[in-house]
Amino acid sequence: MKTYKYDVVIVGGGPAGLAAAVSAKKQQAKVAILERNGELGGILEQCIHAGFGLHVFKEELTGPEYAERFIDQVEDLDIDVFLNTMVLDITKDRHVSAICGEGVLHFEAGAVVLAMGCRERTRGAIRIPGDRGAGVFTAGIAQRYINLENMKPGTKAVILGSGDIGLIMARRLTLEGIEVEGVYEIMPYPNGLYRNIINCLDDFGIPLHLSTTITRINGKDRVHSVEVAKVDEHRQPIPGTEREIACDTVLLSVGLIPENELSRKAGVALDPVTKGPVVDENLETEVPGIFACGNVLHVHDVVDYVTTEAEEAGEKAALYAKNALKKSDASVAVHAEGPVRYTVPEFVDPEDGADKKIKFRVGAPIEKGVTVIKAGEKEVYREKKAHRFLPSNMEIHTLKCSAIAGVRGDLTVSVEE
Amino acid sequence: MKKIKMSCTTCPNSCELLATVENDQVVAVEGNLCKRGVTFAESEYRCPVRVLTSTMILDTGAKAVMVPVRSAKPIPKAAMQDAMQAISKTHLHHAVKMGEALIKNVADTGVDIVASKTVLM
Amino acid sequence: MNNELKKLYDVIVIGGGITGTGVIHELAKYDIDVALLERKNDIAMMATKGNGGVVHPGYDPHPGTLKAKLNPRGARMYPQLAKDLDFHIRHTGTMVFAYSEQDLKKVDELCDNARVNGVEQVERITGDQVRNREPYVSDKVLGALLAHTTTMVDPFEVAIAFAENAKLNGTDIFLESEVQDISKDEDGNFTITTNHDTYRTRYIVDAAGIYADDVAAMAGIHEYKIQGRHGNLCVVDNHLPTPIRTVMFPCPSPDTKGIALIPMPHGNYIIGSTATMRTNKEDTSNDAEGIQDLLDGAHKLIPNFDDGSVIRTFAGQRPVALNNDNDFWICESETVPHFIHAAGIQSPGVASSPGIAEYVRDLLADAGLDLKPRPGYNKYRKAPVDFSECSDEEKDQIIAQDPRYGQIVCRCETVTEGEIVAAIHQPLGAHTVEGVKRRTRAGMGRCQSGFCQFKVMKILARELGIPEEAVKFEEDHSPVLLGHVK
Repeated sequence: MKTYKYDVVIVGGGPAGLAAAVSAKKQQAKVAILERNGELGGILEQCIHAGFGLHVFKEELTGPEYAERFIDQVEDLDIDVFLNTMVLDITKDRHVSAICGEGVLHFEAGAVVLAMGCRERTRGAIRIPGDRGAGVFTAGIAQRYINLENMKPGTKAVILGSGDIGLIMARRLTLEGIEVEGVYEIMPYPNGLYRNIINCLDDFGIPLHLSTTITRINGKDRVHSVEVAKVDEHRQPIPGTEREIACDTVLLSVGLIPENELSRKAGVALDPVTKGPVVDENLETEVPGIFACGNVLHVHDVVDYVTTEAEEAGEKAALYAKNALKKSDASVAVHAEGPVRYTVPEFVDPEDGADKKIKFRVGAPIEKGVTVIKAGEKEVYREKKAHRFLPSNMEIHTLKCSAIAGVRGDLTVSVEE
Repeated sequence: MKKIKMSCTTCPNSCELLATVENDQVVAVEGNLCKRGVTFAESEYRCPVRVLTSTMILDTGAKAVMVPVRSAKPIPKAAMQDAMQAISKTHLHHAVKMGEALIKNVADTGVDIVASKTVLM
Repeated sequence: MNNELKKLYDVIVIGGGITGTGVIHELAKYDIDVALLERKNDIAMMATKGNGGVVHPGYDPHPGTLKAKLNPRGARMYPQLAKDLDFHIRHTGTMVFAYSEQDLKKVDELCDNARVNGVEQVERITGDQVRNREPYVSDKVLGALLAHTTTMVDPFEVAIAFAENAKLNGTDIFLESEVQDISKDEDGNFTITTNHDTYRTRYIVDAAGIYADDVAAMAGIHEYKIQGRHGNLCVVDNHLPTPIRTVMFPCPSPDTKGIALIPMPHGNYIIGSTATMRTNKEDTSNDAEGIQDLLDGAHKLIPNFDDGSVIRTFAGQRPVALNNDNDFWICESETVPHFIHAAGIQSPGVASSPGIAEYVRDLLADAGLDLKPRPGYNKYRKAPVDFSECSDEEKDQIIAQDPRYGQIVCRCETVTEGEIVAAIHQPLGAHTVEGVKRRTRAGMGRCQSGFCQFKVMKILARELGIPEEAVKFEEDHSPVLLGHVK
């Protein structure tokens, strides 16, 4: 058993972990990244499509390119990287234990950054009935098989869910000669970015069926067909609209869930809506010295925002480890209201002089609306230009600290139509 | 007259454009936050271009690994299938650096297919 | 090969579920030649895997039935078997809830049954006592039966343990061997023809589950009929907002014990199960109505049960011997001597299995089989290492010996590459993705193999020496992957 001591231990070497590590290192902290896979980059390595980096690098990069830019920095900055190393436990006092091919490793951390990412919702979680043969994949595992393993998950696919990975995979399958019969979405609106609807479906003539879902999967050995049906406004299948579609493969892109098993072990409180840790504006969880960023905190729409969030978490973690993180006792809660499903952070400090980045998502599309933040009855922020709000898009708004200086009582974030 | 949905890729705003086409000309654009959206819509109607991404096999003898590749710049949509075939036919046998050209002037588009990852042997 | 030159077994057991494996585990104690024929590519592939895993102590069966005799007997054997055969067991106890005066009467009846059936540590408790023990239980519960001795097992783990122990003691196990014909020769021995081979035996134990009547019919026996009672089940995440530690049932109806919430040995839960008769014996598909019934059932027990915690839904069929008052059908055939029925093993089949095995042994002895102790019999079977249960020191030691134990494959259930390799090379090794899952729990957690399946595929291909596209998911024609992309 080996024991290491670091200022900042970062759990996960995907986009969040990489950016957090670089940022913490720039604060002169001694940093380690613990990564369960054999290489850095996380899920970006299998996201070979372009569309990353428009905000951070002002150019359109593929996933591996985006990752490599950060991996190069990690190497240049001499940040310690533990590959094939799986964290098994984190304690409240920031003791991290992990295993790798050499045995059990212990890390004493000044601060911990949780950057474990998220996982995909599965067939079981959405309870699609029928047979349980081979051929049902989450879009992410199909992406892994095709892009990294060179293996074909099937020859004719039906995709359930219009999340971005599902849309990206519809194009990817088509380009590699695997037929995509259609994409089915239970909601009356698509769940992925508009760009992906156009570039991944419309470009290839793949139909998107809204308010439609898979009601049954047939095939005891291997999938041979699915039954789809239209759904009513309560998302219940409408009898008589069932249709059987022959296919040997079902891809599911039905949502992502932050992976917080380790956070839970550390005693970190989780938000029931985001399924990620409850954090303050420093991205610090309710356990002092444990920070969270990226998709483990809340599922992001584009990786660029993961990066900027993680840079902040890395910096704050480094400051915490050096006892230099400014903290006042004056913290107020931030609540989601009306169409707003959640906010990150859940707490801000109105007295510390720093502007607040408030992120949120709405639960259903709003054609035209503005973001409004109130402190009690007092309006402290109102967006100037009305625009469309989509559940697939993460909203980020900057609240000037001066607007809430002296405020007592909670903040509420809402969207007015 | 027809209406065409487009997603502007000029900047991160990713405006959802609706272009009105008459007599083979874009006559109106809705949904754009700035003038560049109009320029985009016109070029998207005349000759839509996309970044093409795929993989190539790097065969080291002992084992094969996949190298992610991309068109260095967007290529015409119409050239995509030809470019895909050229990519599938190409097998690599050496280490590659990110950005290294692997197929020059793919499908006569004037654009190279480049490695989008450094893969050492 | 000439039939006469074939080995003559003393007993061939047909069917590798919890009943058949229980019987070969019991018969392995004796100096006889035994074989097991299983039509599937693994054991425990039918009712045994589609099962909640409750070792009911035996308060439920009507006194005087075979169930009443074999269930308590089997259940009492489990704790020692778990030690000898190294399978997981969890002592949970059971509560049967009463929601009405009528239910309370039923609870009293069950308490009486328990007494007559010889089941100890069964008591009637009040609603408050229920909620003291399990705070999330509905306040509509007026009282309950509490059976302290109920345990929980993973039925396929038990069946594998039974079979591996039997194999260590010389039992031949033939998988992918579907019985197609049975004939009785002039010398009184049976010849069994499968899709691959023929076998000769002096005695047959028919433990073919839902197909037991069809197998019997091959030997010209038409003494009973089997039909399936289909049941939906759900697997629930091990992190439940309303955790429980006791198996919870509503009051039973004549056909079913009702929808229960069951804490499993490894920390997750099962909701099970619905009960509808089916005529298609192969149909283990599940249905939306059944799933909804399960969720409704769970809410009746625990009003704040979180539906979002369900991670998997599935279904199975229990073999029911018709016109038999829901009892087991275990006896020697009236028409064909030396043919033993071990059929109609519906619930509580898992709990009864060791009892059934002894009962079948006695039937064989009564039918003339000479049972002398096997010289050198080994009552033990060692399970492969369960890495997640090891201390840091043990982990270090194991990894030092084999670094593959330092590579986590399944992150949800903390399963290492070393454990998967070991599961593949066990005496009855896994050779499918689902086989690996049942033995190691890789893929059983909340991501349902989303992260680890490609790793399991690679390990299976490498260890079995086959290409990845030949790796099976579960059944014979169930490739996970259909070739290379380029």
